[in-house]
This record gives sequence, C-alpha cells and structure tokens, in this order.
Amino acid sequence: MREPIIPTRSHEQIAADNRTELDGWIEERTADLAARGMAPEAARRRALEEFGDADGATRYAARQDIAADRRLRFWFWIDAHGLAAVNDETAAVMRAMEGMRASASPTWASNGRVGSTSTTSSGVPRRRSRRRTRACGKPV
Amino acid sequence: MTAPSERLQGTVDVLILKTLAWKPMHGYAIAKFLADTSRGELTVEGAALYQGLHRLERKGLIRSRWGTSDTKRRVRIYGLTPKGRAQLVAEADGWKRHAAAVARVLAVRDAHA
Repeated sequence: MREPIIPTRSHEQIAADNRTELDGWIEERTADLAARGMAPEAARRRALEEFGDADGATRYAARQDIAADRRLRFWFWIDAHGLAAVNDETAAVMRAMEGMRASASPTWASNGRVGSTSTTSSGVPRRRSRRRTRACGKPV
Repeated sequence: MTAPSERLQGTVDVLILKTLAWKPMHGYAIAKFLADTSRGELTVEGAALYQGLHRLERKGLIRSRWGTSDTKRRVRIYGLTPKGRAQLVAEADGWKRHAAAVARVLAVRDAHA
C-alpha cells in the first residue's frame, strides 16, 4: 500500500506559525508608524493596540488551521487507501461495537432497553416471559 | 435574516477576496490596501482581518505560503484559489444588489419633506 505523505502540522507548529505571522504583522505596522516619526516603543504599542485582541485572534486562527489540517489528513488518507477502505473501516468499527455489545454484562435488548441477561442452569439465555395484556391492561 | 456577526464576517471575507483578486499579499498589506483604496473609510481591525484570512483558508478559498515582505520580513502571503475566485464573483453580485437596494430605499423622499 502506498504510504501517504501528509503535509500537515502539529498543533505546536500551527501555534508557532501563527505567532510568527502575527509578529511579522506587528513589526510591519511598527516600522510604518516609526517611519512617520513615531518613537519605536510608542509605535509598537500603537501597532498592538490597533491590531486588537491578539490572543483571541491567534486562538481562533489555530482552531481554523487545525480543522483545515484534519480535513487535509482525511483526504490524504482517502487518496492513499481508496474510498473502499472507508467501508472496510466502517465495517470494522461496527464489528467491534457488536463485540463490545455481546461481551458487556449489561445487555442491550433489541428494543434499545438495557438489562441483565438471565440464564438457565445450563447457561442458555432464559427467554423472558412477558405477560400479554389486553389493551385495557387486564391479563389475557 | 443573517446575524450581525455573520454579516460582519461576510463583509470582511468579501473584502479580503477582492483584495487578493488583485494580487497575493500578506495580512498587513491587505489592511493597508483596504484603508488606502477606501481613502480611510474602511479600516478593518487587524484581529478581524487575521481571523478572516484563516477562516477563508480553512474553506479553501485562499491559500498561503511563507515569503518575504518588501521590508525583508518573514510574512505569510495569501493568494486566491479558483474556488475563492468563483466565490468572489457570487458574493460581489450579492453585494451589488444589496447596495443598490439600500440606495433605492435611501433615495425615497420623506413624505413630510
């Protein structure tokens, strides 16, 4: 099987890239303001003020980038394994869930209710007898 | 009806797309272009623009690469994708219709005038 080359980034790399981008932005604005005669320190303060909520913006940007990376990873995975693999993976998950369902002590009845399995002395699951009732609630 | 925050995001997004249709640019250059082109009427806060760039990149409407600015600083340069160009055409049409509708309403003479 072809190994996918995934050009995605770690969360740390995304944060570092976004910080570098933000720093570049602030430096550019600071240089512009300084070129107009503002003192370097005052220019940097002003550039940061004008930018607004830098922490909030980098957090938002990181969320967007992580979501974009996740989508990219998905498509690279599809590209490497083929669409048929999605069905295989889904089937494997379904089988695993069935296995978990069968081995768990509380059992899920077909109607979705949770209950414990009652067995006979030979270990065969005991069929629960449910008293049939009339619509009015009286036993048949 | 669109929520005010969504409308604001939509405004920022279409301004970014239109700016990048001209040529690829870094964030601060986009902010400067918008301020200069609108003769100071449109000043988009840096944080809003920065968020907009990352939002549009997630949607696949723009793409970024690292580069160097005119002042030799390391910057992230954004460019329009074909999908972004198509989105800009659709959005620009909507904005022109919206602006024309607002202008028509504002042009109505006051009954008491």
